[in-house]
Amino acid sequence: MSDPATTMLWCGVTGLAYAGARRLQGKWGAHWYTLPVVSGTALLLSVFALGGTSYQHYAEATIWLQRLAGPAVVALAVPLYQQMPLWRRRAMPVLAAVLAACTAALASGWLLGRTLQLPGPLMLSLLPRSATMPMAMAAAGQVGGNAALAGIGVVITGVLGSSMVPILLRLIRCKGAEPTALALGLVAHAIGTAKAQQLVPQALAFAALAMGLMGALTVLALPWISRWM
Amino acid sequence: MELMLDRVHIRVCLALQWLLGAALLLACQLAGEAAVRALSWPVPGAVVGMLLLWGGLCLVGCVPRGLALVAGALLSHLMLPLIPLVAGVGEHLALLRQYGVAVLLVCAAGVVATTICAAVAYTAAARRSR
Repeated sequence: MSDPATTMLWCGVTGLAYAGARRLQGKWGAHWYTLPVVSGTALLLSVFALGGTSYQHYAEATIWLQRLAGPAVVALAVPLYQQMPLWRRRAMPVLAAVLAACTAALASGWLLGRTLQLPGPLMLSLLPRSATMPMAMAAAGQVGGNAALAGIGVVITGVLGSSMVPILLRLIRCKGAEPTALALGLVAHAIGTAKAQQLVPQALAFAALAMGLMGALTVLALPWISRWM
Repeated sequence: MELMLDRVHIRVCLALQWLLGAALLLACQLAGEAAVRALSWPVPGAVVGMLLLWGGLCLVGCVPRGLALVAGALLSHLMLPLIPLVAGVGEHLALLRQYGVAVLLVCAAGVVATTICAAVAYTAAARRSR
């Protein structure tokens, strides 16, 4: 356990890096490199390099900040509940899409990971890459993967997905605001939901609902897959 | 004098609502962690807590104001508690250098497979239910 001064110092540095990242995002617009996780982490890593801090030391000092991710995941129930009217209207198609997407995400990751001979922990970290970030990172840690690697997989998938989903849907001639928003939320979680807000604001609720359900389903399915591996 | 008391009253009420909202979130997480531990189920307790809270909200039929406030604040800064964890990637640079292309491929293939399956399933089910 680190002492209170170290804890305050590193939580403060993390807060500053986050605030700086948000400022950059406001100034430069939404790009992959201005996502607060990407630029904030880059800022933090450069501070480590300059100060010669070990990650171990930093991780111990910020343990309480990291624990806030738990209540934040629980808080996702609120937006999920607020999409209930939509859920009642479109339960069957949404459920079908979520089940299909979850199966596809896990199966494709497993098959390709096997083919490319990825080491087990890396593959387990990449499997929940379409779940929302706090869920994916916690789940990967529990089944023998690594939270940081899971975070990287989630960011890459979110960035790729938010630009590729509209193109893919056009290729398979799937038109309409609802499937577009749904696919963006399913594939690219929060980054896709932000994209849905730009492209199809009238169907934004679909993206939000899809993100929450996909995250929960992926996380619940992951232990079975990892046991089976 | 009365006006000032009113204002203090409003502040105190708001603070209490905040506290209750935060307590509700923590209670759900605790219940989730306890359930996961009791069943020795390798799932994050917070996700089970989220499902519990979702079920509870569906039963009650509305979101308490304090909960909405706390949840909004937490969700708008969802990335802040994750940055310290993602920074751990510095420990895995060798692994990423070796498998970087494979990681990109796995993510890209996931995007293609997931998008197509989701779109096909949604359109098929929407046509049937109509």
